[in-house]
Amino acid sequence: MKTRTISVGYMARVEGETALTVKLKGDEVTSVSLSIFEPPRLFESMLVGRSPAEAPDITARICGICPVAYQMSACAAVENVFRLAISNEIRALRRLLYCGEWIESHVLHMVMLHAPDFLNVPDAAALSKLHPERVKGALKIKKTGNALVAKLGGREIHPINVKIGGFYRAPLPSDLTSLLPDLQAALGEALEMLGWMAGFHYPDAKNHYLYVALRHPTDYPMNEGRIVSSEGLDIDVSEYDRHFTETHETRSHALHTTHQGKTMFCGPLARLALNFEKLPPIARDAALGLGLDKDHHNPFKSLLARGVEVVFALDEAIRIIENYKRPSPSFIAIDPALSNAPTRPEASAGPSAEKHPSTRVGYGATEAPRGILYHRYEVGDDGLITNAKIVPPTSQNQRVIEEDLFRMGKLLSTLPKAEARAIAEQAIRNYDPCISCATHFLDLRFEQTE
Amino acid sequence: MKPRLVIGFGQPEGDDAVGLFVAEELSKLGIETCSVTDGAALTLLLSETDAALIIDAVVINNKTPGVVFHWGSDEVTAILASEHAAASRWPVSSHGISIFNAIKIARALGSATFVEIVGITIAPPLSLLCSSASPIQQKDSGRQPLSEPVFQSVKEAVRVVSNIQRQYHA
Repeated sequence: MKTRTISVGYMARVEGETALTVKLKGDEVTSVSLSIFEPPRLFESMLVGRSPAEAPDITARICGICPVAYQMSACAAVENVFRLAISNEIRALRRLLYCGEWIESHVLHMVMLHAPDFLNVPDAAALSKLHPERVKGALKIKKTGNALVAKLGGREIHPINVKIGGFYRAPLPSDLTSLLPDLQAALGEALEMLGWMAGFHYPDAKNHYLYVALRHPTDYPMNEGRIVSSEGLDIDVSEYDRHFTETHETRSHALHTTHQGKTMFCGPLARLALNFEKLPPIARDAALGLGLDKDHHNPFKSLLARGVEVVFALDEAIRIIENYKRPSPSFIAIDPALSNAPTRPEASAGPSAEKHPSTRVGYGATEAPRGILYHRYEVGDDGLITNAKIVPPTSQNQRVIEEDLFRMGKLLSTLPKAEARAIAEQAIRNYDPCISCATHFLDLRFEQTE
Repeated sequence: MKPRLVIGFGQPEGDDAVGLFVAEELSKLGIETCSVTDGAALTLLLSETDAALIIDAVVINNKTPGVVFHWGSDEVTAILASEHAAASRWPVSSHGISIFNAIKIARALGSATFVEIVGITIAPPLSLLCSSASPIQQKDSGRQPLSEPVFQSVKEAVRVVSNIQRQYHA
């Protein structure tokens, strides 16, 4: 019996601590396990006993690259607890802030982390020698995303200006219009970048995935919408727990999400597949030019989907700024009569609601750069959080990452060690997994017996 | 001689903010500085200049917080060259680009030939949780404050950077 083991001591260009073991018998994969050993973060327990008003800022600390996503989902869920409706102006500003985060996160991942895989170079520094103009362009695009987050959030990293009902301070129109020239230049740059990436070689790995994303009646999804799937699911966010289950696997500190026993796929490719017609013309034309309207079954094309979403986010940011009306006041306050008064429990209320019938429950889901981010809060008579549930996109994608590698087994078994390792890493990066969010690096091992 | 960018680098809270804090103090003395909180922004800035001095918080084993170090351009280049380990210790990740990777990428782009670093030691972030050192309260600032020993080293860091700048322009 011949055994082959391939291992990667530390897989760079993903976030968090993870190990992957692929066991091969001949050319058949017998098992794939993604073990996330980054320590548990316990944020859900930390929230118990805190005011719902603190949820956006506490949960934002789960992740340094997508704090806005946590703030947006927390706001959506808490506002749902108190049946608080925000104004169109505040909705537009929240979308603008989210555009900033999508741009920052997507561009860093595409060019600095994932593109080196497609061009067979070891890292971003090597890529910079090969394609200096593209790397400089990417840095400039990212800068516009940072600028949006800084203007709306008060600072680039871990913004502090978001509150339940809106913002502590709404920017002046001149604060935003000053960003327009850079955003316009970045949009041109993003289209060129997409053209460059379209020329990459994409491994052939088509599969029929169960895509899940939000869908909004008129807009490409960000802050709100119904949860829909490529198999016809169409539910309100409050029904999430009835349709999606989190299970604990002993090998991983992160929970695995399934949709009625099935493996799901969320993130840019799923959003694009389920919301193609909602893209604005410039992004839709770019996607059509790449054939992404029909050919969205190859997970490696997540790279292109992210590129299309960068075009979308830049275009959307320009549109929002051009139509900006400063909201006054900058937030909608919770009705004081509601903030402490018990209301009827929800039909699908969670554990503490069953014990305390006056518990109120709120649900929120928004589209983080990596996919759906779901929050649910229960608030007791005293107005404090009694139960919290947070499901990040990487939990939802954990199973599909393992299954993709399983499907690639034959290919992996035939390749030399270094190449097998490289393509497995590239396949994992299709999902831009944020391990910190999901528990929350990668030690890759192949064990082969013949 | 070409002007040189003086960059304060770090996060706006806690001891990691010391680079930003020193840059602010230097501006008050009329030295032009910029403050950067994101690795990609640092990379872009370095890719557009040939010479830079970066002020940042550093963690060095067995060094107490508040010690000021200066690495000249040749030393920075030597660190980068010896840094096979750099790629693993400070990878480019979704959470950003480290200072060494920022210099590497900017050099690959044909810039950042001369980069010096002034580092101020801080305690490793985890040990801050169990540190008994009392933080300095800064007036007119909503920031989480610098710890006492790091705050005390700001003056020395300002003196070191001012001297380096004087020699550079002399």
